[in-house]
Amino acid sequence: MSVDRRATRIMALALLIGLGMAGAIIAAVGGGASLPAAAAAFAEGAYGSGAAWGATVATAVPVLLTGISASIAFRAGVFNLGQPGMFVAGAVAAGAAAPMLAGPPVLNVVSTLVVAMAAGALWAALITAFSRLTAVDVLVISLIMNYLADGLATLLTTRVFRDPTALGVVETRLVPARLPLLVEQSSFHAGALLAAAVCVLYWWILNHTSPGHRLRLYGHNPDFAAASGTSRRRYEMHIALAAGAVSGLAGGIQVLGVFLRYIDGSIGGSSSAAWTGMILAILAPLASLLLIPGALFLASLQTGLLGVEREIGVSSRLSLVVQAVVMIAVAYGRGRALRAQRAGPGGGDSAPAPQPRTEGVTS
Amino acid sequence: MIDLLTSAMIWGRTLDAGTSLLLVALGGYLCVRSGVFNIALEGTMIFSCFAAVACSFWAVNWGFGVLGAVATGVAVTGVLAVLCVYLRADVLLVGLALNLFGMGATPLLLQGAFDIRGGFTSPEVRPIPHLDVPGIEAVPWLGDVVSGRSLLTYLAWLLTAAVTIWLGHTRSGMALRAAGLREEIAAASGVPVRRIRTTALLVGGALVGLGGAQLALGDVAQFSEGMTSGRGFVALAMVLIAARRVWTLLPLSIGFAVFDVVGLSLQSEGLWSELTYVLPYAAALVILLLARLWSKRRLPVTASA
Repeated sequence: MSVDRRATRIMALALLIGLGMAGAIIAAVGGGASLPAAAAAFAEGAYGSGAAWGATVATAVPVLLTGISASIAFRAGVFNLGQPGMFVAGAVAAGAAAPMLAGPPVLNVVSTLVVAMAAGALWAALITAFSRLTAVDVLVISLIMNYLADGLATLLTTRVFRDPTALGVVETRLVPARLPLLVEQSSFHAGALLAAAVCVLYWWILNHTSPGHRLRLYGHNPDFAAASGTSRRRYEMHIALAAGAVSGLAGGIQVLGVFLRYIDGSIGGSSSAAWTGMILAILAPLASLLLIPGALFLASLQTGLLGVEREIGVSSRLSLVVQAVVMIAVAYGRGRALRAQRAGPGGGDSAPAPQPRTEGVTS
Repeated sequence: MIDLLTSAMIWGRTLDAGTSLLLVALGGYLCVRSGVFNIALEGTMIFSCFAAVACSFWAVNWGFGVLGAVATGVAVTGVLAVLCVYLRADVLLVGLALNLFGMGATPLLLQGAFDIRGGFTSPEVRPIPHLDVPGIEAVPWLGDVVSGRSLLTYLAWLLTAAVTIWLGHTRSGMALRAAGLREEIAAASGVPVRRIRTTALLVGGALVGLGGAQLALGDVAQFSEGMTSGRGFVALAMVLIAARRVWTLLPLSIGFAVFDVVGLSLQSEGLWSELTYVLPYAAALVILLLARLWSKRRLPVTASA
């Protein structure tokens, strides 16, 4: 408990430092006098109106889902950072499949989302397979394959699935049916409910079912889990498939709820929501229901800074800087918690930090 | 295609393109071998690229560009050293954070320093000079490949030899390996583990900085957002594949680089230009597979602890 409280304190302090840094950067670029205007623009952009709330919620949806995806892998002790790739795989698959799948709107949306989940799961399976075949840690392989996913997405969209009537922009054809908007004149779409439902389901599975118990057990001590009959290879593949399906779903929802087609470059790269999702999973490792307010908070950081970008002209990449600072504080807190745990029992119930296998180099 | 693969121009450019990978991998190798799994190579590299271009521009001198890049590399890994070696923060999370920091901060720096977005270049950004090697210069084909390369390419080859000798044949090199192998035993036998890891990280950071300088100033002197495009992670994979044979980083870097260069030439061959974004990473995976098969044959796998 004391570790939890200390971790919370460190995170709050880190957030203050991060926001202070953001303020300093804005002041450096726009001049000190621009700070009050920047604060107002931030509040306006994130929460100022119905439309702003809609944008914040819509931004939070892929963050929450990729966050759940990363959380599944981290819980099992697998440091798979391939969520951006799985996210892109799901989005491309949805953009390609939706115009081809016929049927009434509801059926079209459901089957497109299933295709997106399958694509995300396939990409995650490929990451796991390549990591095994090359004996290179999944952390490194997954990061390289994020770039491969972006490249393949560009290649496939340009050469195979491109809308022949689109001029200039590389994009797939318009989807025949979209996720309905819940609030007119905003970007608040039904994917938000779906994402929240997935999060509640994840919480329930994790805390109230035997597969969830197994996941937590495996993460805490894979050797013990293996000794009690869990095949490591097969189980880690199952984890990858589940994580990939959730990230793929996020990609499908972005296509069906926001862009209404897959637009090349709209989802991948360094501004991918999946990076924020990954940070979310690291920030909220214990309580899975906290992922929802966490995602909303990180999303408001982005929409707020977009407001600042519109008013003051400072790039909204600033949000990555703030998140990086917070993450460094978490890394510090995590290191301390682990040492406290080693020093004596009752040191805290922190999720284990997976360590990469570097036997080849260090043995 | 055959013409392409036998042309001296392609192989010469490959040697230069491999240099940044080689330097970054050497830097990463020192960190990993001393027991710090530094995944921040990508972020360190993008900061160094920016510093190289900015310093070269302000001083109108490539030497200052290289110095700035090296100092930046040392500073970024210095942050990692303080956080992870002395404050014992989780090294993977700090590394990931520094990578995100690089992705987020370099566009802001570009905006703050040059009031521009996307990328920056100017005639005042001076590139690293290319050297002609007397003797080899006159040999047909080989002369065109080996001579006339970037100064840092020759330096990187020397540094590969230097690191190999340092780790394999000196006391401090042995202490570095010991610190990475069994921390407790090394500490018990009097190896100052923290100091050695800090040294390894700072020297490694300088090498990563040199790699960033080569990427930014080695060919077309320019900076663009995300210009490292995963090279830091490919270098990390090279470190794991090289395992105990540090010199293998040299052939590995050339193997990876050739696909970068060929990928860029595909368009003139009438092939899909989008393959440029796919080929380097697909090739990276294939090379990792081949390297695995090769090392399996050479070193029988032993049960790992």
